[in-house]
Amino acid sequence: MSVTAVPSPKVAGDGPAAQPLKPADYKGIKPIWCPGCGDYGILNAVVQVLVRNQMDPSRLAIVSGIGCSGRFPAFVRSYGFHSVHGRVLPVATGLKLARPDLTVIAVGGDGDGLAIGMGHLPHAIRRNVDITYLLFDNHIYGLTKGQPSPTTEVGHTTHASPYGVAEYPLNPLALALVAGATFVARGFSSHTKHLADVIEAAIRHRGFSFVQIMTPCVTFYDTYKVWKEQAWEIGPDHDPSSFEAALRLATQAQGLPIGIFYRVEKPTYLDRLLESVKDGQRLKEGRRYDPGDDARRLSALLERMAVR
Amino acid sequence: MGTAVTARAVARRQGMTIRVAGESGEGVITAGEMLSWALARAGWWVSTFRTYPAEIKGGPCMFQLRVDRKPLDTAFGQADVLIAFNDEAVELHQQAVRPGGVLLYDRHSDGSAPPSVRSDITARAVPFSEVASQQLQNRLTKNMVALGATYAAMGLPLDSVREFVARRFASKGQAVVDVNTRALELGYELARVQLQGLGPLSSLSEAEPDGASALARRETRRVLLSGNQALCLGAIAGGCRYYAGYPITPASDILEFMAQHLPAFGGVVVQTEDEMAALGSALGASFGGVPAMTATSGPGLSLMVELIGLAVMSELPVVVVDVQRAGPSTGMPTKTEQGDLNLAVYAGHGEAPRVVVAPVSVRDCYDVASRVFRLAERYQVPVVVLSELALAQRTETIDLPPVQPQAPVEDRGRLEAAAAPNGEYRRYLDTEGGISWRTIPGEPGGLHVITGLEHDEFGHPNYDPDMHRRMSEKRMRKLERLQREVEDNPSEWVERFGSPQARIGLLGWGSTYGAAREAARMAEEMGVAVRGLWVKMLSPLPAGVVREFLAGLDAVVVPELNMSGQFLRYLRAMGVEGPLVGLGKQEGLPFAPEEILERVLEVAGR
Repeated sequence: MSVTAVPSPKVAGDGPAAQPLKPADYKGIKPIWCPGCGDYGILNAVVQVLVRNQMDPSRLAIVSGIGCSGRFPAFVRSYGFHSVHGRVLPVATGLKLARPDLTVIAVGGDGDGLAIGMGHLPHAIRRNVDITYLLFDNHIYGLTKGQPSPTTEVGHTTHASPYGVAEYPLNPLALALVAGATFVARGFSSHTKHLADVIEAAIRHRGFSFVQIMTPCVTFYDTYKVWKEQAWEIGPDHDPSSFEAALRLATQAQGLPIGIFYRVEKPTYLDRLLESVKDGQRLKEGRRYDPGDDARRLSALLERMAVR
Repeated sequence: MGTAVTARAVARRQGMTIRVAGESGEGVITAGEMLSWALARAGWWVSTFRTYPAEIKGGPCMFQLRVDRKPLDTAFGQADVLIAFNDEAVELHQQAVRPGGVLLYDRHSDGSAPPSVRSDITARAVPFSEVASQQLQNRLTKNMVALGATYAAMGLPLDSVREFVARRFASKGQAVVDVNTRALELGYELARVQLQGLGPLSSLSEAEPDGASALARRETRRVLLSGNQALCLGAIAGGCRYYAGYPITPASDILEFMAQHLPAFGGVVVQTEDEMAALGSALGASFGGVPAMTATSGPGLSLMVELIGLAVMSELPVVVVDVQRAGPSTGMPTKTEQGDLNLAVYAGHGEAPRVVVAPVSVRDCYDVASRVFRLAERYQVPVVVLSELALAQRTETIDLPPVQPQAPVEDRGRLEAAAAPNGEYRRYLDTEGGISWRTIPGEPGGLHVITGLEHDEFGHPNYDPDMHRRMSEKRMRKLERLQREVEDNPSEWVERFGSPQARIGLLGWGSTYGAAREAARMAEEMGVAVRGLWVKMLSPLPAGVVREFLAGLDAVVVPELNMSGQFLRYLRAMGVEGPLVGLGKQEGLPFAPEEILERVLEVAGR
């Protein structure tokens, strides 16, 4: 495979711009997805959000795992970390806890997030770290050429499931809800404007925001027709502060409801840490090094432990 | 072990070695810790060793404590005194008592036959349980009765132990403090009547601790630390400001220490859902520019392997501590082993050069931990710190270490290679030394995406044959440079002991240092000169320093707490030639100095 190397950002000229930033200012290297891939819709939606909010590319970090979605960070002009399969949430969590000043977006596919990386999802939710997780769900392993994923429908045949998938699919939204997520939403790559609204709300949410994005794989599992027929935008009659209503919508609704299912405010991991630790002043101020204070504290600690 | 060797070895011993043994749950460790603390407070140098079952209640448990007038290298080895809390402990541990030693054991209250005891040791039945259950109606205080009795037999005043009992049980309420203090006093009274003048037990009371003046002693500030505690303090001093970990014996207390103390220094601690999340989140923090660490044991390191490769490929600094325990698989969680050298040095697919270091003592845990963050930051590599259960959980008195905390971040390679000639920022600029300028999020001039894919200088994925070769060389070059730096100035990364003129050598790594140094001293006293080299930088190996050490030696014993001789094989693989003789031990226990001494005498033809 070869990648068209577009010039990297120059040392000068980045950062908060004098001129309003345009979509082109947020574009990284040229995407390498198949023509027609739903992921282009997600990329466009994300760029729309960045333009709308005139976000500083240098204060944005996008973290990914492995899969077609894994390459996403390189296609947005920002800081990015393309990590390993399934570990996007731990990496994003560590980054945000270390650097609360950054906007951190985690992206990953249904294989990355619901199979190999599933163990991390409920815990990222429990910590309620202020990051946004975009789950690119195409119901298939695209990059490895079409094996069934945790969201593939029962009976679907692939090379790896020649007699039909024998496992029942997971319901990512219901999972996120029962794990205690404070923001749960679904978007569809073909409804780009709506998706941008959902992503923007997710980024603005203070705490862990989970967005399942339906994004068809044109090459290995073309679901465009079905999803376009099924998709409907959740209206104002839904109360996103009601857990029961959200769970009902996630489990019993006809078709494919898209929009914000659930949204509540809860203290984040850092909020709780700052509230509870005995001496959190330095943490609060983000003051990691202070030679004088470090020496004083370390000496005091050693003195407390001293036997004589 | 040959008895002649043993007898000669014992003759030169000073101070006292006390072993407390019983069943897990009987308070063996608590009694041992209190005794150590009290003696350390009185001015003695203390070194301890413990072994206990993986289960919380039940199973044999042992705490060994050595005190002396001078700093100690090891606590393991033969005991002068054994305090046994039950008959099984008498059975299991009497072989570890030296001839002429003393055994205090729990007297049977039901009149049943006492345990059989070797004839060459002095045994005394003391009613530990009886006093606890009949006079205090609290069987759990048996260990305090025994502690009081031991202290009296040693002829030492009870004050400092009393102080520690009050401290230790303060959180459990005054009633608990009172009953334990009472038990201590009853034991003390008991022994004053029954156990006076019992050979080696009284040796401490006749000696001044320290051998220094009382004034000098008052001015010496000392701390009794475990290797894990020392490592945490060193990490904080060295600039660690993010810690993530998953509970695992024997590394859990690192997580606990950091959770307690790191926030005050502005650092965040997370207990993650598994070890992959621990290292993954540490890499996230490191990407954000915050020096990060995780600690685990062998099973956890096995799980982290893929992420170590990611750190190498994406050139992220991170510190991974492996407190080794006996493997493979779950192995023996509470027993020590030097079994993870191969894993630490080679783990991972592909060519993944990383730094591996191994501290040799409790004090060294502090020093090494305080240096590795700077190392990781400078070379933009993962650094694996190989500790061991025997190092992590043993406690030693050390002089208060110098406190010179430092931010490990100098310039993130900026001075080395600010930008490409045309002014462009390139995250992986291919410089002569292999180090590139690493910007962090928030810096406007240096946007980039790091990846585990092979990449070009910008970080863009690139699979060209030439690029893969170049970038592999770049990553390797950083370590070659570090190797040269260590070889040019090895003082921080090796420990030496013994006589320069010696013809017999001892060569090793990690926790075996103390026992080896003591073995060398014993050999010296027997007329066999020995010189030793303990290598603390294992990858990249300063092979030049090792070769220089080997020059002129007729035989070199390489003691290792593993079966296959991982270090010996590694040395040979690195092109170190020489008369190396392996000495393996795969029992979950450290070396006793005598075991190393025996092999040294053997190769010396003695």
